Amino acid sequence: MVPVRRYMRFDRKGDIGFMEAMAGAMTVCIVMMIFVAYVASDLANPQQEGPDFDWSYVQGIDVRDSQAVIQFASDPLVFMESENISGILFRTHTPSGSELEGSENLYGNVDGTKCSERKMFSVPYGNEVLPVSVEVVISFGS
Amino acid sequence: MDAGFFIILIGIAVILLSQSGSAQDRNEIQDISESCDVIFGSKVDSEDFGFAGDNRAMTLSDLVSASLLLDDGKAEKYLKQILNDLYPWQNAYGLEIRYEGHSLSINPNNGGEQCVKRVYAVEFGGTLEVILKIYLRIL
Repeated sequence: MVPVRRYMRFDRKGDIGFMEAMAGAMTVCIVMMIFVAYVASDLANPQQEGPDFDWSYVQGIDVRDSQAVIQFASDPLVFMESENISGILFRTHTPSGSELEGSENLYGNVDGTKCSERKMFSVPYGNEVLPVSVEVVISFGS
Repeated sequence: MDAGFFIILIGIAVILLSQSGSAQDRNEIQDISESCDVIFGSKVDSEDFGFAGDNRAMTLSDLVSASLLLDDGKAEKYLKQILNDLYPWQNAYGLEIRYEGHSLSINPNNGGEQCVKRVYAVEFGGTLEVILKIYLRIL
């Protein structure tokens, strides 16, 4: 029999207790359940496909010849190149009855698979401040 | 000691996971309330709204309140056109408006995944209560 030296003697100082082990196991189980629920809810509610439009490209709306025209902060072609999309169409929608008319700007072509986003802007026009919605249609398929 | 460290680590992961979800929800709700404020805070020519013979520009919340008092259907027609442009997909939104005991509901059966409630002061007295409910778009 190999003699055990005093400084190599076995003891139970490094062992975890029953309560610690149970708490650790329960925490792992709870986290796993939350993670699975999070993934399942994502799968059950599919989000819009295609790239999200970066609205910082739209600085505001200008009025030119009674038309609501989008004022761009930078060229939308940069966004098209960075996101590798084939076309982008901007439309402004004005309230019915108003003299202010909507407008369209097309970059590239929007024949492929499309997604769209909309945002509301306040547009001063004479003594009015009109609610104008901007629609962005992005074509990301071929 | 090791188990305690592990529990703290997992706890931090849970907090981060739950916060990422709630931050996303908060942003969506801010977007809807922003749209609601833009619509009801806009100033529109009364004649364009449908009140013939009056070309004063008034806040849309005032015009909608007046239309509710008169029960003439002009508010519903005007708001429907704006909201249909903004949320054009099927069953996209539901709107409830209340003013001094009068109310208007557009698409009342649409529950909505996200909902905002806003209150606007009306120039000729009282407040206009607006509840806008939005469904997310799913392709």
